Amino acid sequence: MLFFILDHCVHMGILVILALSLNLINGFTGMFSLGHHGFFAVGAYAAGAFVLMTLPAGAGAFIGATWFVLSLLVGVVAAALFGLVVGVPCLRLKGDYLAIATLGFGEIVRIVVQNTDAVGGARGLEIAYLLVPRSVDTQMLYVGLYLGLTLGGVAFTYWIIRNLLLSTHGRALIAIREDEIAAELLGVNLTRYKVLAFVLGAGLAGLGGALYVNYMTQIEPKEFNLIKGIYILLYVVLGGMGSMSGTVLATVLLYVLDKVVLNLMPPEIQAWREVMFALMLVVLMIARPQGLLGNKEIHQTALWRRIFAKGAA
Amino acid sequence: MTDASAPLLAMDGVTKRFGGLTAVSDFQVSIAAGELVGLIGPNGAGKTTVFNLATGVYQPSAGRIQVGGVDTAGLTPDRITAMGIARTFQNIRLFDEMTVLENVKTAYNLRAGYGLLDAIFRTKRFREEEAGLHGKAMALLETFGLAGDAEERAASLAYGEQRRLEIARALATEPRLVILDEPAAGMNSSETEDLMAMLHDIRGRFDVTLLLIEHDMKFIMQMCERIVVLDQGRIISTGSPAAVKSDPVVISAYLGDPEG
Repeated sequence: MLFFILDHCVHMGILVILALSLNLINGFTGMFSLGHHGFFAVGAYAAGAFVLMTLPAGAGAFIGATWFVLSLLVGVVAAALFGLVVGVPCLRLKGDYLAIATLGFGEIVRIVVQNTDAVGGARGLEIAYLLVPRSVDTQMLYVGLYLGLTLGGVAFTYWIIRNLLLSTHGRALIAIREDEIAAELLGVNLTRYKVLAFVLGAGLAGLGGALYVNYMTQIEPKEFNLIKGIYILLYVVLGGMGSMSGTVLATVLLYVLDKVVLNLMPPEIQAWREVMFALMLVVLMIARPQGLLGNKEIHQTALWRRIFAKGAA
Repeated sequence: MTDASAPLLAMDGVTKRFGGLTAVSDFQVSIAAGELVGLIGPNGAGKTTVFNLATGVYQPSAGRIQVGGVDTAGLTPDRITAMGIARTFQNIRLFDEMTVLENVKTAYNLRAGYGLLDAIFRTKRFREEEAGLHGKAMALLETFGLAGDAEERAASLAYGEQRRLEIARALATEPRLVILDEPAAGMNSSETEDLMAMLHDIRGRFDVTLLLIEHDMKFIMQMCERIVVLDQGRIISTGSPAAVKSDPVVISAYLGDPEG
C-alpha cells in the first residue's frame, strides 16, 4: 500500500515540475503554449537514448550514478535546445496561433519518436536501472530514492522560477503578459525575454522527462500525447495562471481526484470518469475562472492570512 | 553611442502609409534638449502615428528618424527607449495586475545591472542592485504622490493617479525625451492645472525634454513653447502658440473653411 502511495507521489512530483515550468510560459509570460508534453518527451527520450547508447556494459554503482546525473543534464539541455528552436520562429505568433504551432510541435515529436527505431519506435524505449535495480525486495528503496530525487527536482524548479520572477527579469516577463507593447516601449527586449521563458520552461520540462525515464525505465511514445499536454495545462489553469503555489495545489488535488478517488469508486461510476472530470472542470471554470489562487501565491490569500493570524494569536 | 549635441529627436521627410492610406506625409521635426514642443491637430490627423514612428512601434515607409544623431531604422522600440526616449499612451497602458511599485520597477529593466544568474543565485550584486532600484522607484513614486499606494494593484488606482503612474513609469527608464500622448485626456480643469504644474516640475527636476499631444487647447497654448500642427498627415503650421493660434490655415483646419 505504502509503495503505491509513494509511486503516485513520484508521478505527482514529475507532473508538478511540468506544470510549474508550463506556468512560467503560459501563466507568467502570457504565451499560450500547448506543446509542453513535447518538451517532456524530448527530455525523456534524450536522456533515455543517452543512457541506452553510452552506458558501458556491466557498469557499477559509481558509473550508474554518474550516468544518471549526466542523463538529467542531457534531458534538460536537449529540451532547452528544442525550446530555442521552436521558440524563436513561434515568437511572432500570438494567442491561438502560438497554441496551434506548439501543439503541432508536440505531435511532431511524438510521431518522429514513434518512427525512430533507434529509440525503440512504437514499441518504446527501455533502459537499464542506473541507481538501484527494481525488484520485489528493493522496490521500497527504489521508490523512496526516486521520490527524494523527484522532490529535489520540484524544489529546484520552484527555486529557479521563483528567484527569476522576483527579479527584474521576472518583472519583464510579467510585463509582457500584461501589455506587450507597453513593456517593449519601457525597454523590455521582447525577443530575449520570450525566448528566455520558452527555453527555461522547456529545459525544466526536460528535467521532468529525464527523471521520468529513469524512474520508469520503460517509456512509450503514446504516453506523450496531447492529452498529457492538456492535463498539464489544466493544472496550470486550475491552480491559477501566474500562481506557483496554485499550480502545485491544483496538480496534487486533480491528481488525487483523478487517480485515487475515482479509482476507489465502483466500476459503473468509473465508466463516467472522463465525463465527471470534465464536468467538474467546467463547473470550476464557471465558478472560479481565474483558477484556485488567481495570480496570488498561497501566503497572499485571505484564507491563509486568517489561519496564520489565528495561529499567531 | 548617441551624440549629446545632436537633436534629441530629428524626423526628416517621414512618411507612413498603411496600404492605400497615407497616415503621415513628409513629416519634419527637430527637437533640441530642453524644449517643450506640442503636437496638435484634428482627430485622425496622424499625431499618434508620429509618436509610434518616433518610438519604433512603426517603421517609416519613407524618411529618416534619428535619436541623438543615430538613425533608428530597423531598431526595436526597446532599443530606442534605451537611447533615451520614453512615452505614455493615449489609452492608459499600465501593467494592471502588477503593483504600482512593480510597474515602476519594470521600467528599470534597462538599467538593472545584473544578469540572470545573479537573480537565480541571489548574489550580492543582485541584492545591492535591487535595493538601489527599490530606493529609486520609491523616490519616484514619492515625487508623484503615489508612495502610499506602492503595494496597490495598478488597476485599482483612480484615473488621475493612473495617468501620473504612467508618467512616473516612463521616467524610470531614465529618458532624455518624454513623449506624452494626451496626458490631460479625461481630466477636469483643476486636475489639468495640477498636471501642468507637475510637468513643469518634472522638466526641471529630471532634466527632460517634453513632446506632447493634447486636445485641450488652453493646456497646450500655456504649456508649449513651440507647436506643430498636423492635418491629414501633413504639417500645416508650426511656430509659437500665438503665431499658430492666429494662423488662418490652422483655424480653417479646425473650424472648416468659410469658403466651403
